[in-house]
Amino acid sequence: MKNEILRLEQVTIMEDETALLDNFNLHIFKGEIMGLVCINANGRESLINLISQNLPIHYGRVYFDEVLVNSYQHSPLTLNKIAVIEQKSRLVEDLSVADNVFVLRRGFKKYIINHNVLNDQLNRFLKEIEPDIDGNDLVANLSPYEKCVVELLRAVIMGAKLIVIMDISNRVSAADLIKLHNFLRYYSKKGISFLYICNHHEEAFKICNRMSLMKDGKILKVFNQDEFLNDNMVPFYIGEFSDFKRNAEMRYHTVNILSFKDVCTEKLNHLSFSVAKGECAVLFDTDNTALSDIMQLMNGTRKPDSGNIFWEDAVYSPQKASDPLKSGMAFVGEDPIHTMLFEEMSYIDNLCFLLDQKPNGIRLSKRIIKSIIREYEPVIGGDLYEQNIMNLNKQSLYDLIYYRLQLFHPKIVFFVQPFAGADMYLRKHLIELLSQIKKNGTTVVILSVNIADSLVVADKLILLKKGRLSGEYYRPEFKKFSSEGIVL
Amino acid sequence: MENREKQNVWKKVMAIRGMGQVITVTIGLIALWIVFGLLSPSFYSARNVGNLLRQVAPILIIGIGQSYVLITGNIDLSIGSVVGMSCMISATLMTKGMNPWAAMLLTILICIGVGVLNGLLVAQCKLPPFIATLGTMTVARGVAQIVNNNYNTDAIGEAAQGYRNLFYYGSTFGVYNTIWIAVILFLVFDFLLSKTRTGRHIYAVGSNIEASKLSGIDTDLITIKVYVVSGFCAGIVGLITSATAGMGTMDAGNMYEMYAVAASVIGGVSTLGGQGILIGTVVGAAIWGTLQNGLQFAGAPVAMRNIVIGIIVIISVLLDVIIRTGKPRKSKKSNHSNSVSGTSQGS
Repeated sequence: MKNEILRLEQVTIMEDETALLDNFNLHIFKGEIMGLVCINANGRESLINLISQNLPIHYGRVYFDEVLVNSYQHSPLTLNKIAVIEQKSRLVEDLSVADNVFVLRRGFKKYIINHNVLNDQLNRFLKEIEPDIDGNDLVANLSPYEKCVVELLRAVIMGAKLIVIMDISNRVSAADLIKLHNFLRYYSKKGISFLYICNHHEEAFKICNRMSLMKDGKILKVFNQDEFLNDNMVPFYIGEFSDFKRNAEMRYHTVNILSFKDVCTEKLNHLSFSVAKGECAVLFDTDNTALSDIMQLMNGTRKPDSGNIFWEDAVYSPQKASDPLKSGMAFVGEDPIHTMLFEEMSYIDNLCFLLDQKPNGIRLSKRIIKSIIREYEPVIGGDLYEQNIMNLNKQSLYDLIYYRLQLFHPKIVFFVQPFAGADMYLRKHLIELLSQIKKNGTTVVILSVNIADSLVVADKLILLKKGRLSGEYYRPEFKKFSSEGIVL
Repeated sequence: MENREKQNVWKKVMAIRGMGQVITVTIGLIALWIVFGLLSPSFYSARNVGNLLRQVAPILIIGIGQSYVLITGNIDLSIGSVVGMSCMISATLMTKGMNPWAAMLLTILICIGVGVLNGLLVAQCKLPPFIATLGTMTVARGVAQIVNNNYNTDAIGEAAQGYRNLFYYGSTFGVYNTIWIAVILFLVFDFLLSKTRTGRHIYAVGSNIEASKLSGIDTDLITIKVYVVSGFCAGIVGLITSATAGMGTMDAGNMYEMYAVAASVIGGVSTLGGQGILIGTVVGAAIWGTLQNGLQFAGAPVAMRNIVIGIIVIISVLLDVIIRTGKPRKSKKSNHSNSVSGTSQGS
């Protein structure tokens, strides 16, 4: 008989009269990799919190390692032996790998630390999986993939019986994801269970033994490995991306707006590519090494060691790069809600922020603001008058960011992983917003380590490997990547 | 094979947080010694070197306290006032007839109390460390003034001669006791910081407080601990000051908080938290002392000395920021996506 590591039985969690988890059932066996694909993000955080700690629940029972640890009658608030590896690293950058793995784990008893002993112990574990990492290395010097490996190792050494892996494909490159999957399989054979949470069933199909589909805090269906077929998923995906097939017709663009010619930096190796005016190009970095350098080159925080960048047929000089807005460039970083909005400003102030910076010296008089309100009120609605933007939901905040760009009307916008961490509804909405920006004639460049979703709006895919161009594909050729969870 | 071992040793040395800057400033210190030696050969005299070390010792001690606080990403501006408070309380108690050793113990306990208060204000009450310690700085200076009714104390007298010898005038194995105290405190606190679990937790809190909390570290307790170390070190320096003067002076420790920050940051302790080693603080304090002493030998006025030291502190912090981020920046947390958004917002 299989040992059960986690069983959630008819669990209901309510908050402000809303069910975060609604009659939720989930069980994970020892050594199993259970997938969890969330159609929307409702209840996802609550689920992670609940399996990490035995928090109060309104109804149901939770069993961990076949012991009742939490029920609607008594929630002891104790911690379960689980570890969470998510998009954001939980390691301490300024400490060594050995310190992070051993000293910073719960229950480390020794007071006086002997580095040699720690390193010897660590090397024994590392030899099993990733011999390239050294115990003395500072975590800050590791790649995102190596950090994931260290977090995984820490979880294993900590004695975690269940490891939650969440949105990892947004953190590591496609090539590294394959290696990471191998480690998961290795440790699952050793009896460690995994809950693999992702946004695309295609990703889960590649690694999981079973997969649960979750929506609104409820499990819709559990799929066994023999049911891992795209056709089986279709009935559950409401409002599919099919309507985009019509919109995303292929248009060939001929005039280049941005070109890289033999550009070299620490991470870029004679990189050459070009993006045409009005085009939507996806820069897919399979190793997750080059994107940060490309962004730094564009926003002026880095200069190329050699080679040239051309912007509208002229060399993109450091002077131009120091004020990209002036050149008509805009950037949307990863997690833009936290990095691009000003919480203390009202909706309208946030909306007009870029316009206020426009180099043609537009002063935002009341008349202009009134005209903006008139233009956007039918689209945005009552949110436009919100003074505290933190009262708005996630989708409205994304609207604000994208409408701000629309209003600014840049020549080109760079998006860094725009779909990272977004649930299916939000992804669909983001695709609509991106399509609108594209429709207005703005060139769109999406920088990503995961091409799922991006190709829905893309005209061209630029594939980067080890910091150099590996291939360019136009829309008719995108079918090659259908195994990556792309809906075309 | 041998080459590889050598490379490993070098890698291990360079993996130590802040070692790169320590090596750089050590080279700078050697250069300063050569320059000042050339300007005035008596700079190398045994008498001057002894005095220089004795001058550096209090700065090193408060530098140790400040380094602990800075590594957690906080700051302690009350150090100088606590030095003054310690000096006045110990001297007042001794002039009132209390046993010098009991007075010393009580003074240290009060200084530790200030450290606990600072820690509680920062960790529990979530006050910005700059504001919290600015407040306690004023309070401690007020206590230093009020403790003897707004007067400096009288001489602490013959009964406290043993105390004065221990902290300033005496020597052991031909080396002034003040220097021994600094060395012992350095060894103890360096061991705590580099070889113990608490030390790792201090770095962790300064580097990533969220990750530290998720790793089960009591971040509040760590913050309180570092302020206690700072209060303790300031208390010791206050005792040295009262032993040196043989009396309590209300303005003792004036500007010491700046000297402490200077010693720490020159030695590579990051004001952004998470980085720095105490050997760096030793070098930083030595640079501070060498500049003070050497510029004095060279006949530079006090104002010029202050200007030079101020400039060196700014350059050190700038170097730290550049080394850590590749460019001067405004906030600590930055990755490629942040820098992207930072541009779009800030432009």
